[in-house]
Amino acid sequence: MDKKSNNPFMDTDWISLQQQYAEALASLAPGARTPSAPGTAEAAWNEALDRWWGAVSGSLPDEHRPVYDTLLQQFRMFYAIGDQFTQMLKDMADTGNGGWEATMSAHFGRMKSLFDRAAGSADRQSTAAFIWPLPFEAWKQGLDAARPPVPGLAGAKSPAALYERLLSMPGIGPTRNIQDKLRESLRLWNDYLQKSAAYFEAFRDVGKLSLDALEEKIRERARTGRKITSLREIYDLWVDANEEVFAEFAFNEDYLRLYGDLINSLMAFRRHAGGMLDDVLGAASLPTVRETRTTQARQQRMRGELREAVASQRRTADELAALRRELAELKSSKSPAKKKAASRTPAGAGGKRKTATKTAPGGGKKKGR
Amino acid sequence: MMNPFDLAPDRIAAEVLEYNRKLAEGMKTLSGIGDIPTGVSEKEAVYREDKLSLYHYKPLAKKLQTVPVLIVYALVNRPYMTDLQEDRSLIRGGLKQGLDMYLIDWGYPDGADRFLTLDDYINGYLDRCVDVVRERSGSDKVNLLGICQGGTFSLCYTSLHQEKIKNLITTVTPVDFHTRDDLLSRLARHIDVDLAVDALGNVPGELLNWSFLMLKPFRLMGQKYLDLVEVLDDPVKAENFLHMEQWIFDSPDQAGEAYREFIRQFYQDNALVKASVRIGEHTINLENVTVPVLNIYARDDHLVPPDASKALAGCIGSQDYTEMEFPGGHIGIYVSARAQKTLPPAIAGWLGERG
Repeated sequence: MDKKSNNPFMDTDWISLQQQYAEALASLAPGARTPSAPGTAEAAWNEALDRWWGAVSGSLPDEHRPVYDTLLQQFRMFYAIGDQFTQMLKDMADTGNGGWEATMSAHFGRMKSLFDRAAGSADRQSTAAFIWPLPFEAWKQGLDAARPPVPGLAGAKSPAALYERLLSMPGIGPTRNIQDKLRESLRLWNDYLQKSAAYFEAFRDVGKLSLDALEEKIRERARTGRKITSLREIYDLWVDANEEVFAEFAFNEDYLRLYGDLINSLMAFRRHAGGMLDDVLGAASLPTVRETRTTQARQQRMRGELREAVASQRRTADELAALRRELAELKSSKSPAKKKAASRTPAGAGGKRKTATKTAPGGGKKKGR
Repeated sequence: MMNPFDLAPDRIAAEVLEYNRKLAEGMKTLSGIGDIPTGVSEKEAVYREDKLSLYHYKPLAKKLQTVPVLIVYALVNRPYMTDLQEDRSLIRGGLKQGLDMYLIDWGYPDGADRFLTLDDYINGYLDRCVDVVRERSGSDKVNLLGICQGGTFSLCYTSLHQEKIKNLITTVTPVDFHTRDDLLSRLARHIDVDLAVDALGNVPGELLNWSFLMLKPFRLMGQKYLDLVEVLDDPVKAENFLHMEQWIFDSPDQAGEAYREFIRQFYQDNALVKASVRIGEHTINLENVTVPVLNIYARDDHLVPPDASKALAGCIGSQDYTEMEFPGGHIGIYVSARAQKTLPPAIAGWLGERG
């Protein structure tokens, strides 16, 4: 029997299967247009997803929209993995059981070559984003979270774009001073770009290692006789492989330094840009961050001093109260009953008395107050 | 070796279609879930100061333990994680066990809090809250229950104000910040924290979120959401997911000075185990802690590895030290079904034995 006729992937028009899938998905969203014939499988799935989402997203409450945005993002990742492995399974079916390992190795080799191509790419971040989107997406979120002082700074990829944005601020004050600060800002931004390039460059090598780890996990399944029966299983193996490799990479001192350099370079730029923004605000007679922080620091110091003063006052009040109590006790010991008792006390037997009487020689009554 | 793949194109397409069917059905599920509440147990604010609120929970048991429990949460994330849902609430479990429970909600710091220090938090806010609880309850002492960084704060507090503390419970609390498998700590070591705080002022909560997600980016930013699709047709499970999701991304900013001190002294210098942490004018020496201590840690915790918590045993002077391992993760120890069954009775029982 012809080998090809045993290949379920060859007997099936894969593209038309995608078309059927896309139509089925569209039917879940009444009113959505049936998508046109797709060019590639992954494109078909993504296009169908976009059309469906466009049709139904309006009905989702706003508070749940971010969750669905994230879900769709992960779905696209799932599709991409599914598509990659579908291509591979098609090739495996062609070669039969005896050649599946070689086919798999060739396929993984092609995937690893994507990382090598990224090394020569002018836009390494975009390429890295395509190949290993999750760490890159995480960094984009981190960059936004650092709240750059210039709107849209996260999207400025080149010094020229940044220069243009910074120069759009009004030129108030001595020109020379601003020129020096602009030059410094360009230097710091350039430093950040170099550090981020180094950071993502490191991920290129890790991406290849993760593919090796995934390939090994698949071989392990073969050795132990455990079948892979769903795309979800492949996806989970892919996640496990990436997490293991990432963990080993992340504990490496080289990565920790790259990470530190990346953060520190961004913070250095952030601090400098904040200072420049303050210069503009100050020149426009508006409150600056510098002034506000000085006020806050002084206020905090004053609150501490006030608390200490109040506490000291309380301690003084407590001491005063204690002294008053002691005085009251002393005064009460001068009461008549006590004085009478004191007068029967032989002279010199104790007790202090302030009396003006004197003892007459040979006896006699004592006069006292 | 046999080819391990047992997949055919029609099954692949069916699998993808099934996911999309669940995604579509999930819209109905999510549309039926309204606002997600932040905390479910009845409580009353009994003290407020700046952004802080001290809450007292309405008791649920007829007989209460006489010494109240004050929960000290971390500055990171929000404390309603301890009271997430009716059936996922450490608070509720403790109330049912007869604990008289209070909780400090640190609030959401803003620019006005930029210069708050650890001294302000520990010897200021926390100390005043302890005094309020003592006065309200009529008890000379309180039981402290610290969560994560809140546990670290509780240790520092107890070493300085032990006369006000009856018993101390620490949960998933970092003590030794330089253990071998502490990735978060390693990531912090090369950060110029002075530069970061000078640049940012208060440190944005989103930045902390990002750093936590980056510990396991593929699971926490990817796989987790595919797992959600699996349960989207189940309103109960979908709602559970959304409760957690809301809490995970509800991160207050960190007051700049307090953040600077914590990162430098604890994460970078590991000063707590060296007895050299400075809080205001005081040096923290955990050997001063001689009250009974219950130290609960999570076996699978990737944020505070077990060794980071277990180091407490070698630091404190207490003769009554108990360790308890929980088989779960950093968050699971509070929200998992197993946690609801095991933790409240364990805590209440341990406290009950110590009056």
